[in-house]
Amino acid sequence: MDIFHNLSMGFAVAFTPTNLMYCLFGVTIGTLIGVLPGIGAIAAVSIILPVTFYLEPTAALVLLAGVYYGAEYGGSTASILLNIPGTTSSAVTALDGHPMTKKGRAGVALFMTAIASFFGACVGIILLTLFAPLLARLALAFGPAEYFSVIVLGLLAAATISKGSPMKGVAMVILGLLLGTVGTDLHTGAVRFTFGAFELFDGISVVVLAMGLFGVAEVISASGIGRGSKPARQHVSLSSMIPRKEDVRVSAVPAVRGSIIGSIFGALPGTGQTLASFMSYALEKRLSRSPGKFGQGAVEGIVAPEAANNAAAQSAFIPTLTLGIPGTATMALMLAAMMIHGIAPGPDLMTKHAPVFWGLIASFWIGNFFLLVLNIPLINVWVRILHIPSHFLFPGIICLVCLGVFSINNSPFDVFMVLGIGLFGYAMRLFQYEAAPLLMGFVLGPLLEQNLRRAMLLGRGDPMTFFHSPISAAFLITAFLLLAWAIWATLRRKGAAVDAAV
Amino acid sequence: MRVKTDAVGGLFLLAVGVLFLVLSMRYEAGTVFQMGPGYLPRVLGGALIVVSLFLIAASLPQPASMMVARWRPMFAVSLAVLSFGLAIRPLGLIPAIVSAFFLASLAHDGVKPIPIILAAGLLAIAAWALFAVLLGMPVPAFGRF
Repeated sequence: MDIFHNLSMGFAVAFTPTNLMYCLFGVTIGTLIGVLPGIGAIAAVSIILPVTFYLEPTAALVLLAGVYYGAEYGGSTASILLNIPGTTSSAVTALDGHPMTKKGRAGVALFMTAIASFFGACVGIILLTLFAPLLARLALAFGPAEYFSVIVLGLLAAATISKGSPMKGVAMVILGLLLGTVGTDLHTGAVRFTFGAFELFDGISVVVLAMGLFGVAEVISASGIGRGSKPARQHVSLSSMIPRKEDVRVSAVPAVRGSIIGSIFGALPGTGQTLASFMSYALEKRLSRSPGKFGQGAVEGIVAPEAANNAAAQSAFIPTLTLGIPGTATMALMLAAMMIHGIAPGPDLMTKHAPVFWGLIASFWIGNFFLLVLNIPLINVWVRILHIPSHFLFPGIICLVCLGVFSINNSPFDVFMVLGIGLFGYAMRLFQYEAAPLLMGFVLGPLLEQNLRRAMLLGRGDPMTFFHSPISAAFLITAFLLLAWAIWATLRRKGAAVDAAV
Repeated sequence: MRVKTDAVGGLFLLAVGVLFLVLSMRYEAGTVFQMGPGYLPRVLGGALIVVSLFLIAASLPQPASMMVARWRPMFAVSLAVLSFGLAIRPLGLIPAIVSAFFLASLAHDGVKPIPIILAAGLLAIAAWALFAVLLGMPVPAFGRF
């Protein structure tokens, strides 16, 4: 009954007044940013990250994780009411959520997505609780060769499976890895690519990179769009949220299927919430006896993807916490945040930092209960926030980005740096490159280099050392297959799996 | 502007790859057994060059497409961030935020200045309360530090 012992320890940590407060604060900010179209979970986490430097590690992680999974709840609100996804993973929710609004069933849609999100998250957390210790035990046997191979696989999966062209994703991962080498080399003390700027000796700050790519670049591409189309004032009454018996009946099984798909996709490298929600929507449409309903306001069409993306949001913590290998860019940022706070995720996290680990998991339960309250009785707060004009919203975000970046070192250098990276990110966006693989490469780059060097030392410089262990060989062969597929898909000009699923 | 978006993007990345490869020649590569600081950057720089050449080649049969850069938000946001960075040290937090907010709002058409300045002032005071008072960041509301 180890799990119950550990969980009770976790709840003892999570229920301290400070941690409860930061959990509530985190999920509120997360919902807020999730509701706002144009900025997603990565921007949210990176804006809050500098604030957490002033907190102790557990409170900081509880706060950041709350922002992350809170954004997943908020994302569906804009999809349903305005037909504009608040986050990419809730884009698919608009397909049936917005038709429901047009039919006057917005209340039911918001209620059902909140419940489905909660259900999906619960399934995700249960799997996290059960599987994390098992995977951690397995990972204890990992040496540098296995780590190198699993990082390569994770990066290639993130690059090729996500949105956009797979080979462009590969290019962005490589660029991210290169940016990760900037600064002092830990093995030799040599200083690389700093151009003499002492501000770069510690490398590029992950906060500056994430805020530039996901804050500044996103604001530039979203500013000034949609002016003149002032949405009508909406109000969602509590009585309009009560679903019909029929709604509940048809939703139960899709919610379960969505949660299972979400949990699996969340834990796999590279897939994550967006793919999970698209896949579960596609599956429900295929299994349905009346597929014609989909797109016309079918409840199943919002319940399944919302259960899936929230389950994925939670199960994504499995590889991040136990292996130290994040599956998505948002998780990579969480990993970076943990390392900034001196907590290195990996197989010994559960033993070395048991209160942090189980406290974090307990806080997921508490946070999801908070989110249920925030998204059902308090829904009108978010509906009103959705109507803040963007000429107030985006300048405000720019100010928060500047302030957050400046506060890292109290240095204007970082502010100018965030502008440079933001403009670069905007250019890449024009060329239709995704920034997420770059961030993943950047965070995992130093780990990749470290493990490569160690593996080569242990293997006396023989590259075949990566194929001597069956685990490492399996990871690398899968990675090569992904790369081969990416090359083939680019030559055939085929879209990624996400496009195929719609 | 009608261009082959993928070709231009590929050329851009190719330039970045060449830059990294050339710069990494300054650092010792070492051997596979004992890698120096230049080893991985050279491999990665080379890989970026190969991948961007591949992307350029793959883009050649494609038709040219419209590439619409949004200059106005780009300049407004750039000026906003620049003004924040220039103002924060000599002038303090509140002037930095007000100027950044105002300049960033110029990305939008037909914005009235009075509500913008009021909103900027409110945000500046809230930010000062949060960062300087609550979190103890050593930055004054007004003045050099």
